[in-house]
Amino acid sequence: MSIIESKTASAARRSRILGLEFVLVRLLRASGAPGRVKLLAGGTIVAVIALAAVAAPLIAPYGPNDQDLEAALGAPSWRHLFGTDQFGRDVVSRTIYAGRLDLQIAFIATVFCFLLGLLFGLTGGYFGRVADQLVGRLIDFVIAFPSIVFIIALIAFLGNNLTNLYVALTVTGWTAYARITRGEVLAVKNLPYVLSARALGYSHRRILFRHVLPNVVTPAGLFWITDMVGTILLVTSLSYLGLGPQPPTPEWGAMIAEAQPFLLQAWWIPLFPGLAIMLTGIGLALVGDGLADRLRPEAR
Amino acid sequence: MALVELERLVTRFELSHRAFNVVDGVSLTVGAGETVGLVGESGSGKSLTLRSIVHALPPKAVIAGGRISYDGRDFTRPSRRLLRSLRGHEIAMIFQDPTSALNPVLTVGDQLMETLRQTAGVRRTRDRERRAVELLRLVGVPEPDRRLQSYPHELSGGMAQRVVIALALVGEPRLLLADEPTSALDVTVQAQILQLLVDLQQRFEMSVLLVSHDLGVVAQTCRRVYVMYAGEVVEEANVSELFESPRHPYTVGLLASIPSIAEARRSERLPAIPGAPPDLAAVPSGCRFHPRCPLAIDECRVGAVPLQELGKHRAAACLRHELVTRERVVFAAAADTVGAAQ
Repeated sequence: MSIIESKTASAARRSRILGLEFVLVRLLRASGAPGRVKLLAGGTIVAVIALAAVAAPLIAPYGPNDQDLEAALGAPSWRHLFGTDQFGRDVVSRTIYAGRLDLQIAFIATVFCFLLGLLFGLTGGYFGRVADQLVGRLIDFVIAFPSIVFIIALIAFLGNNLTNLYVALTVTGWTAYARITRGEVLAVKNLPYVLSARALGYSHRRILFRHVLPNVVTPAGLFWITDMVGTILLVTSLSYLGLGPQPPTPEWGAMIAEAQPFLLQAWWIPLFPGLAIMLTGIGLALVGDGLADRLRPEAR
Repeated sequence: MALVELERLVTRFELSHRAFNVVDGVSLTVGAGETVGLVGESGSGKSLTLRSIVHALPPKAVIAGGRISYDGRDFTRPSRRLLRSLRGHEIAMIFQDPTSALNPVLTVGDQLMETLRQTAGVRRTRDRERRAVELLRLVGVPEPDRRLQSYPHELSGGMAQRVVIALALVGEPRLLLADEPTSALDVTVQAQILQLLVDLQQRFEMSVLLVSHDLGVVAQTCRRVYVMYAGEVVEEANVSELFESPRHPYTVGLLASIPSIAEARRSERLPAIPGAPPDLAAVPSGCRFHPRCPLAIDECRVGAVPLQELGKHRAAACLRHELVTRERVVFAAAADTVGAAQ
């Protein structure tokens, strides 16, 4: 098993909460589907969801917040394919609109984690000594705190809006990337091609970004993809706790949370946003897995 | 005139709880245009001797004594600027494993072009491309213009080592340090790479210092050899003299452990030197080879045994060097050494 595979496996373990997506990925893996197939399947799923989110005003049959109290808690029907919620809002429309926010969160809340983690991991791993100690202690400091508590505290302190949510998620989320990258750097920095570049007096910047980074970025990049799913779920739990996106903003997690009191009468309200999360998860996981197969240098 | 001269070089590993000399008073010279071999088994300090010359030591290893001079200049404690001006330009190095000496995510062309820019300072892209193709042709890479687009993993080991040699030649070095350049290669490819090194050495009149554990490799390429054991040079000789009349029992052991077809026909066991090289943190008193030496006498166990000059470029560190012949120094057969080593 290659390093990359084991890394994605551990990343997968982290967002195991979803469960089913990995059953599917396992099945695909067991079927011996090549990276290309997984990439194509995952890419299609993610593309469809993203497209639907972008084109939401065009394809959603109703506005996300259009209320029709007479039709409240209506079961799925031809008028409302996924039924309606307690305010008579169309679940199809809300689910589609929610994709806009959720994909945005999945991307923005992780991209800075990825970049920050890479930067810290690279500097710590490459320069070693004091730099490594500093980065290491900083990571310890962040992960010693339960991240949810940390996020809640930060948002409480900074104020509850989307930007601060991103800040809080970035502050707590970069450590995994830094640790993955640092380990990779340690393995690469003593290989002769890096040592030679150093011996020849190339600048640290050149060595880091041209010779080290391209050789260590893959595992962190793959983790990024699975981390997006994890982040959607994390934000879901946050909005359940009343942080993050507030009603009536359509957001998959918030929709599920709001549906909780009506679970027994109206199962369709949480089901469809739940399926949307799952589908996104499957899509991203497939992309990650397919990329892992394709990015192994021998496969290029 | 000597291009490189080491005088009683000491390179130490300084760990937190202990320190020991891995290279212990090594003196050697490499003349201009000369090919010199440095032979010894794993852990004898030969690679570190080589790496000391360019100050490319692993962490915790330091040069603790002696003198290094390059082209008449003192190079024992070079300034950063001096180091940079020599490494890659005057002195180049090639490694044992060519695949890890190349960056796996950059093409052969990228790496040659980068080195051409950084080391040789060739600015124009077209010039660099032309030089890269020339260099690949020089080291015998077929279809050099197409190979520029190849990634290292698409190359065979021999081809990768040719590319590494091409990279080393970018700065037109006067000294090439080769650290086991063929150990990771197939025997047939090994012969080709050695021939390439010999050709290039003659063509550019480079000096080559070649480290190997394989006397056969040294015999094919070098004129002169230093044999190292436990951090010390124990014998110096021309290759032919070394093979004909070794003057140190350790050298005899090395020579005897080269398999020959005649012996294999007679189905004899391959002779080996019994025991193992000493722990460098606790070297034996006296001659470091005495616990394994069949000729050892009491004197060998007492005082240090210095390298004695026996002629021009001929020296041995053995009290009984006059007695040493390939017939007289007989080591036990390989079967017994297994028990002895444990």
